[in-house]
Amino acid sequence: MAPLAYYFILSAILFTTGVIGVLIRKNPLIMFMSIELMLNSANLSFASFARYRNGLDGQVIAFFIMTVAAAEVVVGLAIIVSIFRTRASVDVDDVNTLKG
Amino acid sequence: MLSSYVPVLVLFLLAAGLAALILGLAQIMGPRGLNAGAEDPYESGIVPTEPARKRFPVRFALVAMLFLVFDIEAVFFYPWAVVFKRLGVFGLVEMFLFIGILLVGYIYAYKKGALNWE
Amino acid sequence: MEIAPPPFDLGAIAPFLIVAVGAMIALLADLFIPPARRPALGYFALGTTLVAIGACVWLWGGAVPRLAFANMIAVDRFGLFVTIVTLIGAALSILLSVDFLQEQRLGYGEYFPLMLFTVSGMILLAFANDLITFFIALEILSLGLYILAGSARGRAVSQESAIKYFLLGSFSFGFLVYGTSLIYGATGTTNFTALRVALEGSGLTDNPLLLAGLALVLVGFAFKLALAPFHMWTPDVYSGAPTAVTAFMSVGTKVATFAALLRLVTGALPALYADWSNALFALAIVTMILGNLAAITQRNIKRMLAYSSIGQAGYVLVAVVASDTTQPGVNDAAQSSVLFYLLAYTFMNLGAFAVVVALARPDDERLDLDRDYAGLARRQPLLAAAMAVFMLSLGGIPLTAGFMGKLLVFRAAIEAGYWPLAVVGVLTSAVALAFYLRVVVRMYAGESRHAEERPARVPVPLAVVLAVCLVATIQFGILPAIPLDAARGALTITAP
Repeated sequence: MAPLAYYFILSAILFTTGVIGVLIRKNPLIMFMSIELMLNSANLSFASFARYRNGLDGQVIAFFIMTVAAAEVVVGLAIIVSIFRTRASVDVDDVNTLKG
Repeated sequence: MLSSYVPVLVLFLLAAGLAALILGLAQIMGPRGLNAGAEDPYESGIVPTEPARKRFPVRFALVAMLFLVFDIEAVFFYPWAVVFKRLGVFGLVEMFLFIGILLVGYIYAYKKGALNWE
Repeated sequence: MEIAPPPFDLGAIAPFLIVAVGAMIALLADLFIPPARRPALGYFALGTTLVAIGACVWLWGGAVPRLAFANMIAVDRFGLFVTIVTLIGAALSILLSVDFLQEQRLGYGEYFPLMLFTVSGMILLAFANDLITFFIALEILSLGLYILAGSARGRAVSQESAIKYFLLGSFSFGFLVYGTSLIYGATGTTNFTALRVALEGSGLTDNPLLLAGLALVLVGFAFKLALAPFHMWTPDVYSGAPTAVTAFMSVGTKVATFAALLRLVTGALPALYADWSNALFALAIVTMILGNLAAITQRNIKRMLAYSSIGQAGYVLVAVVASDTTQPGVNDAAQSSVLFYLLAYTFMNLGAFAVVVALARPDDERLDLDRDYAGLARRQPLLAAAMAVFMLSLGGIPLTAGFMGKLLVFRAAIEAGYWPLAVVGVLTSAVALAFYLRVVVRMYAGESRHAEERPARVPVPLAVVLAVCLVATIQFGILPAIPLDAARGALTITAP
């Protein structure tokens, strides 16, 4: 079995990729996928720590994060769809009525 | 033990049998000769009605969202099913409460017409 | 083998259950009543919050503190106090919304059920004794608010507010979740009680995994509480959302999230006091300075109130920093000042938003400070007087709730030895007076642009909100004994 550190490093890389993705991408859908990447990196980290500690709770937590992430996807997509219907563009740089 | 692989063997035979059955039926009952659909690249036998690069109606997104949110809840059923017998009546009541709450959401979606395609 | 289920202690979560079940009933009722009768749902929601307040009072005198549901929930007076404050905020926001939605032609839609769901999340947040409960609660509350922020469908600003709130909120949620996974990796638990026991006198306090986890969790909190430099989304979200929603989210979210923060750092992580207090110290100073300085240049009242709420969060944070559990006297003073400040803030901030709501017209929300607030005292003297009281209270002028709050917070900071925080706090309060007083000056000295127009009648529910906020703001400033005693009685963060 691969040592814990490998899983941990992978999850850290995924998390960082997600953070950078949110910060530099402009399309809300891509930003949103990056956020999902952050959540899933946490899932990986929870599951691997749970395995390492011979506990189950980390894996159960991963279930909860999955459902919460799904609920977020639904709300997020609904908001994006409703914006798309009124302006036919979802670039965050075009969503700039509010400033200051 | 080898005997523990018997279910796998049965599954394999079932899959192979089903595939043979379907192919055989198609051979016996299917139409012969070339038609417009069969000459297309990536043909599946169905004649395309319109170009594929087209915006999907918003309905698809709506159905996808509803599917996603109800589908993911099933994740809680798996661990529950594994220990169902050991949880006793409590587990049953608890899961019915959970399904009841989901049902409220379903009734809402249904009454709002979110499940109607037209 | 049978698995013994945890005791089914429904009484412990009665306020949460009442609001959650009320939300579901409202959701279903929404399907079956004709659109014209929709305002009735508002009064149903109001009733639900009042019943929940009753349940809190019942629990307050009952068997508290206690842990329930395998220690996931801690029912104590601290949580009950915060819950009552949240519910008061929710009840007033609901009253605020009833006529506002109709007048702005926003449609009722799922507004009140969503509001109740959001409130149920806030209540759960106040009682959460495990990082998992905390997540779920935070998401219940956030998901509802994302939709509420965008509830003015078809209005570009509202949609923009929703998408920004959604992206930033989910982003911060990612930080919280990942930070928690690191804390879990370091300690093997996510339960607050178990965390405190695990960290006490162990060699874990220097564990880099644990400290990194704490840092990420604090970043997540800073986003949710709009602490500078993680506050950039706040003005856009606050000004874009319908005003009644802004009023609700500016008080409810802050109160419940601050309660969760305080419970986490003092209930679960007192062993890491040196680490989190330093981080929050820096955040508090930056927040107080940036929030108040940025508010000066704003001409839009909603943006100004948004920056003002950032500054106010900075003052609450000062008291959180001073919550050192190793010095019981100091800790009590600090935590009771957090609770008092949150209570005072709820009334004065909601009051200010109520005036903004009262001035809005269907075609024009009347948000410009120079154009719409000038000369208000001559046209609508009562509204102007109320606004003046709320502005003076937010600015911390004596004889108002805001002054008492600031006094308690700064005194707690000095007692704990954090005099730099108190100094920065007093200086930024002086700066803040500039923009709070400017509103008052405009209202009383300016020339009105809408002089020829007949002032609109203030609907009864809105008048009730204004009266309640006004009385509370003044009463807490002159006779703070009642709320303060309640806050001092609410200091037992469960730690068995």
